[in-house]
Amino acid sequence: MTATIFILLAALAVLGAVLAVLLPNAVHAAMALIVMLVATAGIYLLLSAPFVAVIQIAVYAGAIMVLFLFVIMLMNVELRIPLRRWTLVAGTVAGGLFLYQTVHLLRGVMDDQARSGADGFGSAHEVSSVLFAEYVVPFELVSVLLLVAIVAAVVLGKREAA
Amino acid sequence: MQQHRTGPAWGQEEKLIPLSHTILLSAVLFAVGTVGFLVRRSAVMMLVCVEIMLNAANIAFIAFARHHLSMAGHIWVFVVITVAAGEAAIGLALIVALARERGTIQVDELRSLKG
Amino acid sequence: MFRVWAIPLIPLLGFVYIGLLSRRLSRRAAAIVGCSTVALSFLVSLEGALQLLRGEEALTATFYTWASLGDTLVRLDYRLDALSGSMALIVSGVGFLIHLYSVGYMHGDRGFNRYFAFLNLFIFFMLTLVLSDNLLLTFVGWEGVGLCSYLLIGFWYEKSDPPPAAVKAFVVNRIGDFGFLTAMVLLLAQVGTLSISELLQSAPGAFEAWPVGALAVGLLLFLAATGKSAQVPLYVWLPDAMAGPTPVSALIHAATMVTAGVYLMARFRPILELQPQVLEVICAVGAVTALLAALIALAQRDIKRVLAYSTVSQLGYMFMGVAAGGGVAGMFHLTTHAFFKALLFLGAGSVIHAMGGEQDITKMGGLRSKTPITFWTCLVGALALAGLFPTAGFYSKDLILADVLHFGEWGRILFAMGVLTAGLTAFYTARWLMLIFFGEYRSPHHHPHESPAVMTVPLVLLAIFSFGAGWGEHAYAHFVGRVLEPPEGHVPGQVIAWASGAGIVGLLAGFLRYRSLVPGPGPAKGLARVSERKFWVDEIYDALIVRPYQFLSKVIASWVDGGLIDTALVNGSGALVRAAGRIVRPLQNGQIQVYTLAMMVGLVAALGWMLWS
Repeated sequence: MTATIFILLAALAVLGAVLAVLLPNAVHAAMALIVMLVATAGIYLLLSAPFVAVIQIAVYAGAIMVLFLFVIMLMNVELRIPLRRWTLVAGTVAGGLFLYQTVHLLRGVMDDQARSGADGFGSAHEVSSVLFAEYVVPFELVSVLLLVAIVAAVVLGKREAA
Repeated sequence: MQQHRTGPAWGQEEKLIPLSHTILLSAVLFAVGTVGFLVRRSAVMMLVCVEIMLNAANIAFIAFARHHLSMAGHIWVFVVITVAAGEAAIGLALIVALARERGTIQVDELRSLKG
Repeated sequence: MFRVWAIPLIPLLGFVYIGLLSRRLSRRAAAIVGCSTVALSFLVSLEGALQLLRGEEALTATFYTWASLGDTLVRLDYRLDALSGSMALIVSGVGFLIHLYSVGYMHGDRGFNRYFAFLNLFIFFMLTLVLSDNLLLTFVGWEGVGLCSYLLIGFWYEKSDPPPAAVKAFVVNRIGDFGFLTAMVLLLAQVGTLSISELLQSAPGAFEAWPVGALAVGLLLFLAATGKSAQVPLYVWLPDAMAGPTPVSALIHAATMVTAGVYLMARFRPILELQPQVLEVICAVGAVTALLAALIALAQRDIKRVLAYSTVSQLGYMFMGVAAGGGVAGMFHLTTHAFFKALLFLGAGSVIHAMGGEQDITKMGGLRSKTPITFWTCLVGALALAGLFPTAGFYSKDLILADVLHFGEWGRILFAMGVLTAGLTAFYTARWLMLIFFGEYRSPHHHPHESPAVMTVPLVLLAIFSFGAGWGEHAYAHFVGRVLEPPEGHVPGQVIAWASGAGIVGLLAGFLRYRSLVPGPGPAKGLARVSERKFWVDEIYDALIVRPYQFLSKVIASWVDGGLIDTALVNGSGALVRAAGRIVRPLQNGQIQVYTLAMMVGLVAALGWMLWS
């Protein structure tokens, strides 16, 4: 049962990603990306990471993608930019080679021995107790980073006062 | 299975997903994102492809976290999501500024930084 | 909880405050902050010293860990024990009086606030040097006082004399610093720590198998001390340092900084003792310096230069005292000297102030009635310098001579040199006094006037100490004797007779000779000329070291630097990079996706190499 669900979700994620890469219309591509993100959230659930799954949907599929769609739709730029053949070929060859090598590399070292989880692994409680105890400093650094990003985005997006 | 659990994790009910499956998925998504980054000519779509790659990395993080039963992976996923949000915000702001200044967001036309 | 690091830190805060607000701060505020921080430091030191008296062995505090290099921790450790505590009391106590005096002396100077900022900075570095329990931190203080000395000698940088004098002081001190650094590296390599208390404990064991190393460390430390404390052969900077303001000469170049070398020797006595030759060298160099400087002081005309050579000479005495016997004698002379030499310098400053900047003692005279307080305090200081009973100088000088007499094979010769120096000291002191305060007033212009109370009060206080500090001899020896070896028994009567006899004879001779005689203008004749020209030491150094060095510098500048480094290496590598850039520049075509593709090719290649190599 779990395996079936996993394979379905994985197929959906890959399909979404491929569509996001190939669809010429930017709005369509962004929609395909949302499919991929939601499917990934499902996979997180299967991997005992319910809290991350919720964050994935709220932040990624929600906030970030809305930002993308806003920019795509509000900006007065051409939506369709056709692909070029030689870049398509070169990119696919490079990506394919890379994938082949990665799989080849991982095959030898992968340990498939599954372990049963502890109670509450990946829950909000567990995440917060680790995040605010062991990882306080990275957490604070990341929040500073976010602040900097906000300021930068405002400065960049502002029209120069003539 | 006879074990008692309070957690909502579905994956533990029957059998666990093998690590190799999730890593394979991660690798595939990463490769797809890379190809997209190489072939798309619109800056917005290149950003979308970067998001795909980041997601692929996140899946690997979560898979290994589950495998080793360590919460560190979850923490780093948060960090990655935060960085992704920042990157999207700045990237899109740059694209807006580009479109305003140059009238295009086609990266092969933005080539003034050449040697 | 007593925090030792508060002692140096308070003046540092004063420096930061005055330094940062320099332009906006009123002179009054700068003076108040400058003086009160040092006074506060003194009170804290006093509290620390009282705790020591109540039985504590030492008060220590770690400010923070500066660096950890492997197992070697460099911690900013401060340690107040009997030795460093007594030094800290002198530095902050005499320092406070000189700060107070400076308020009057520097009144009306354009750089008033800058002056007090530097003075506070100096006190900070000096206290750090004294109280540090880590050799590297000591070195920081050591260099810091050197820096402040440089800044304050060159304080009146718009005049012609001070800047070269400041540079000279700095450069000559560099030679000594070379010794300090090398000794530090040797100690670190051999003992494996920089903490002074650990060093003193484990150095004897560590150097057991390598006596030459102990000899080298001792001599290198002494080299450092000869630079900072103006001993032969590195004493030449101190007389020139008189170009700075007079209170600076009193504080830095008489009472505190120049005694840092003596303190260093006292602190590291357990290491110096490992090789008795080191102590002999120190004692001999001290004796030679004492005699030579006293001879030079005989014919100097500048009111401050006489005192400067006298300081060099007395520092020689201190080195003799710190090397011979247990070391307490040298430290005690350091203390009394800090009082009476600071007093004499401040008195000289008061005279210069009264004379409106005149410094030539042959043009003074008869100031006894015009500046009575200055005269009486200077008289006390001069008698102490001459070592007359019952002033402080009498006790400390006799203590040193008693130790020297029984020191090694050459004890009697060194003792004779010491007695001769004592006589000469008394003679030039009398000459100095007579030419300034007695006889006719010889300067046609200017009406001399007594200095304000803010200057005379420190004079009076210092005079009291210069007079009475000697009576604390046994208490001091007992206190510092916890760290150093206390002297045994009493000073033999024979020593007292010789030393006092020499002093009285010298004084009488000086009084009689200069009662009516005033050296005329123009160069002196005969032996006096040798003394006046300072044995031509500066000229000899100039010919032997400075000129060859300058010649070598010119050769290196034009051939090595201009030819090899500039043309071949710098411009050559620049041209090479440029040419290479011209070749590879087209690769940078501005297409971001081409760059990414290149990255992917590299990644695939690297992975392939990992997989199939």
